[in-house]
Amino acid sequence: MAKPHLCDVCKEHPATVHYTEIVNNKLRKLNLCEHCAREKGLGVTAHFGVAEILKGLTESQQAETTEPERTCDFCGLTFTRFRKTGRLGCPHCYETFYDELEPILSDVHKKTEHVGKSPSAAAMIDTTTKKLSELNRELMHAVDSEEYERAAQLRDEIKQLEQQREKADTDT
Amino acid sequence: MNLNDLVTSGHSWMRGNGPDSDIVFSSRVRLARNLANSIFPSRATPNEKAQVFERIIGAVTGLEQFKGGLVLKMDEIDELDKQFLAERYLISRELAAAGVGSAVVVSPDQSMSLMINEEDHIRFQVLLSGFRLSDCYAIAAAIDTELEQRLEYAYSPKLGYLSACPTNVGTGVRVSAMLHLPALILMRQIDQVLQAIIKLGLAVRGLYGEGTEWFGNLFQISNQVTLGKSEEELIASLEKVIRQVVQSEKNARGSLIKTRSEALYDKVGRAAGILRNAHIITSRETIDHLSTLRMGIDLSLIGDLDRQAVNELFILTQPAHLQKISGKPLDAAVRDVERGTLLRQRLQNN
Repeated sequence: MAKPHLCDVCKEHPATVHYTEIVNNKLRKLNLCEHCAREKGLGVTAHFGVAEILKGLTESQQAETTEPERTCDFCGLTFTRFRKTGRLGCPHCYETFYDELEPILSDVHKKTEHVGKSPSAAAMIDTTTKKLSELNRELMHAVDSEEYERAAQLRDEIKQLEQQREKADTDT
Repeated sequence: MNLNDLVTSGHSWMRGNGPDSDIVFSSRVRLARNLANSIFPSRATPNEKAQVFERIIGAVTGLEQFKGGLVLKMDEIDELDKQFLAERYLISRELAAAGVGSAVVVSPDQSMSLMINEEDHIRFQVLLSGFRLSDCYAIAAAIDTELEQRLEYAYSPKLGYLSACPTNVGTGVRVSAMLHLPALILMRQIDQVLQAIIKLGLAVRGLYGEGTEWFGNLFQISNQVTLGKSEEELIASLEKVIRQVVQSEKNARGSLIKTRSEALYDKVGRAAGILRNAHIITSRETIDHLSTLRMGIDLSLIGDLDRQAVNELFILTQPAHLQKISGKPLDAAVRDVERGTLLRQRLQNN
């Protein structure tokens, strides 16, 4: 096989994306590797890059298998379909196809574990605090207006919420 | 507030103020989020998308940040309006192409917009004038924290926020800045700078034009990686690189003034002359001259022009904007005439 043309930008990887542009009536041809093409925003969308990576993976792996293909139980997506579109079908696809996705994640991000913001327990506690102060206000109002049945009901709700919060605190 | 109010109303991110705003036009943070146990938009049925829309819109309209704003459903507005919103960076081309269940919510000052059922269930951005990435993130994170009290997100402790495309998984954050780099281009140093940025694992794209053809000397620099680095780390590394690019552009501007001052005055003067006097002008020519004019203002080579007015013209002279301003559809040839009229009006007494 002939030696592949190297990427015009990084001069390291084989050029797989060929792009022609006309600027000021001058024709310019660019030969880019998948990575640099993605960096330059060619194809505009980021998943373009993934689709290319995936294509590469399929070609290097043996595509023909006799086993029936696995599908995501929740959304019915097959990995072949993902390879074509670069998009997963639902949050559960990450578990279903984790083994196949891990090398891609590692290629794209260089890491495979999340660091950073998470839906916080603090947010949950905050909601509880807000709800509690609301209920307490309602309780005072109920007592003031002598609605004792309503007050008893509110007291139960408050008690229940406080117990839940204590449990959540000890769990974390 | 309705869509037509946007045509004339101010947009805080185009003010041309804030730190380093002579070079960093704007800063942007975008978060991608999805609902737990819900099929991603590209695979969802119209019915499923409509349900997702209802859940999200209920949560979003309760937020203080979007009070008095605008909700626009993609199946209810026409192509021109979609193009108009895309020119303002309020929606993406992908959302514009979507149908039932896809919508955008815009805050009254247009600094925040939240797309529903784009590639992900939720994509929202904070866009500010000048170099203010951390501020953008702080605002975005506050919205996110409020939303997660109202909606259950698709999240895994190992992989973070789960997105439709694995390139966004983890933080789901894309941090970017729009930089104006005319002097680096004039000094022929731009390729070096861009290659250095790319080598650092960041993405650069020309803001106007397709693919690698850039004009208007505007570049968007953003992070590529979203997994394995915290939002703060991503912002810090982008800030560091942007500071260096800003410094390179400043140096290039400095040497241009020192070594080629006549040529520079000439270029700026000609740009002003054309923009103030042309009767037929294309969008491409306009953007190139506006870029030169903007540099002239930043270097105090031209004294009688307002930076915000020039900034706004970058957007107002775009095809859909011209048509919204004149209130009717115009073909390309007529737009070139309208564009000339608008530029003469806006720059004459300015």
